[in-house]
Amino acid sequence: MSAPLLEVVDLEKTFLLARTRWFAPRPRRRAVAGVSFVVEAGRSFGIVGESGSGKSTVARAVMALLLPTSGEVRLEGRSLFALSRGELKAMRAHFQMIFQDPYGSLDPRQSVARIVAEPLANLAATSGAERDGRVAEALAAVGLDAASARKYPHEFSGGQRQRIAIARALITRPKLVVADEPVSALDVSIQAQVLNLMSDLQRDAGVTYLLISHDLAVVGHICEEIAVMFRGRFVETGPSDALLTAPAHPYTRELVDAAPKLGQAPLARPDPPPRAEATAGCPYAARCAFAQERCVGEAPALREIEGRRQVACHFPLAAAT
Amino acid sequence: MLLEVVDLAVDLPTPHGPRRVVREISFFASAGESLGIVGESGSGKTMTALALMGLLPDGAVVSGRLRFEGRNLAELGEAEMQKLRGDRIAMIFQEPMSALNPLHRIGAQVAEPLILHRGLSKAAAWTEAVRLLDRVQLRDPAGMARAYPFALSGGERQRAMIAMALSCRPRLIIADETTTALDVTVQAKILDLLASLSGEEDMAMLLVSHDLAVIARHCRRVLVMYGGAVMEEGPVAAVLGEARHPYTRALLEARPRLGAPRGTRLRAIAGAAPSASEAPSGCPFAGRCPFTIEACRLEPPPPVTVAEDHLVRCIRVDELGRQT
Repeated sequence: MSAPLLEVVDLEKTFLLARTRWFAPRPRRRAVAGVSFVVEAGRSFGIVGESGSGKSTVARAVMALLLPTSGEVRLEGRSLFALSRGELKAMRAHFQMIFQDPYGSLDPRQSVARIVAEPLANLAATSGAERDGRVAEALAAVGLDAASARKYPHEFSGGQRQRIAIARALITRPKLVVADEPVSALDVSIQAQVLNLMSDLQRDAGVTYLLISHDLAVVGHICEEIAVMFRGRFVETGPSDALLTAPAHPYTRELVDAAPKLGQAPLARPDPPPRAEATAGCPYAARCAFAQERCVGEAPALREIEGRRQVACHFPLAAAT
Repeated sequence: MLLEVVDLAVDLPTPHGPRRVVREISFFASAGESLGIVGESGSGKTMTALALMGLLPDGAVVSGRLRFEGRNLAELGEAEMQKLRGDRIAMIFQEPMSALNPLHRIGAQVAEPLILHRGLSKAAAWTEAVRLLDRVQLRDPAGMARAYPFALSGGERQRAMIAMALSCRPRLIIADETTTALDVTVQAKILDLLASLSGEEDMAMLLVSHDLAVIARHCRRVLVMYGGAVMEEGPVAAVLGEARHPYTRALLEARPRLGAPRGTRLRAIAGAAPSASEAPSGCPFAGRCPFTIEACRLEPPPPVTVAEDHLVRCIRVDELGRQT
């Protein structure tokens, strides 16, 4: 069997923060505390979590935009951090990124043609004519006409700008596209255009996404597999349908319940009794409505449950509830 | 009636001459009522809220009637508006970090309106501030009062903002995208808190958001705005449950839903909202609506009553019926 498209093994990233006073040791913050997952080609993978959960740090490590404290990122079996600069540049053709803010991620002084063609600079020499052809092809793939190539970003609306960003990501015909909150800066009516485009590309161009979002509905719409992240760890992973309809981890359940839904009264849920922040136990215990004695003393490890799912909880919720 | 807005229009100056960003909208709210305004960027929802607060940008021209507690806000001078703001009408902004002063303690900022509007002594106002911080369910309110804004999380800051807005027991509270920047779990808790407090205090609440689901959960009536005009309005159950305007329907179908099969086509709304340079003379949605006919572009559509208290501004609402 060939190596999976993307393999992340025990990824850890600790940031050093500013000193609180002179000569004091710099405080550390573990943004990602040991995360492992595999993305198979054709099965898009979504990471859901709140702000500060470490999901964007994972995305940046996968893009080799930051060096993790420890752990491995392998793309088709090749470890990214063992590559030389030149090899990494050549590898970049296979994985591209879409950023959150289509206003900040496009250089306002470059024409769309230059913006979209930029990733080609990392590839072995492409002729001018070939480059123009690839630009037109990428723009067509995202539903923009060829005349757009001569325009500048300010001439486009938010949704169109995000299309330009996607065209730039696609121009190298990547196998993996890392998308960090690709629609959260867009209006609802525009979000739908971009999400439809993303599913089209999945089907027609064979793109696999690593999608990072706080929005369960967006991730569930695009991804076959979902991981729920909390304070630097995965607390639950599994196929998205099963995970969203019957969450096993109380935190996943909280996210599903809190997701705004139309025409549905909010679920009344008891506020958890105030507890001291557990240091040894489950990081979610202080917020968990189902926490028991054991949760405070002992941190649960991620373990397999039925249906190719994993959950880090001593008392996973029954599927029926 | 606590608040009555009749034919409110706002014109903003641009290099190409004045541009109408709010086009003759009317609504009302009574004490204890929660009204939602939903719309995308450029719909005029924030300008409507700012007009009520008298905080429109320089050069803005307001016409129409804004009656609050029997007085027309549009005729009040700046000094009188200042007396109302923070006292009778309070607003909670989207970004608590820029709305809070980073150099002052939370307690002092919550106490400030009490000193200004109620003439409380510093000590009395501080005690009251601690009580308010407790009301918005912040842990350790006394300690929180002494803290500076940077030490608080986003949710805590937003709670402090609510405490500040509630300090003088306003009759009308305006929340503009108050929880948009927060995580969903925090957002739900803050809005529940705001709704229950406004119920207890018998305040009217005006919730402005781009998110239909947020409005659905926390409001009784809703106005759907687009391009500066109200497209549809009525009780939340009717507007969201039996949406009749093509724009409202499109909005409802554009969002991915939890539990829907993966990759289901979303009903995208083609095109983009009208830009600053073009001011459509007819229905503002005509450029993107799949049902547009020539008559749509001629003049703004008049309101059509489709059910009790349920108005739709679409000239084709009857022939389009309930189905799409």
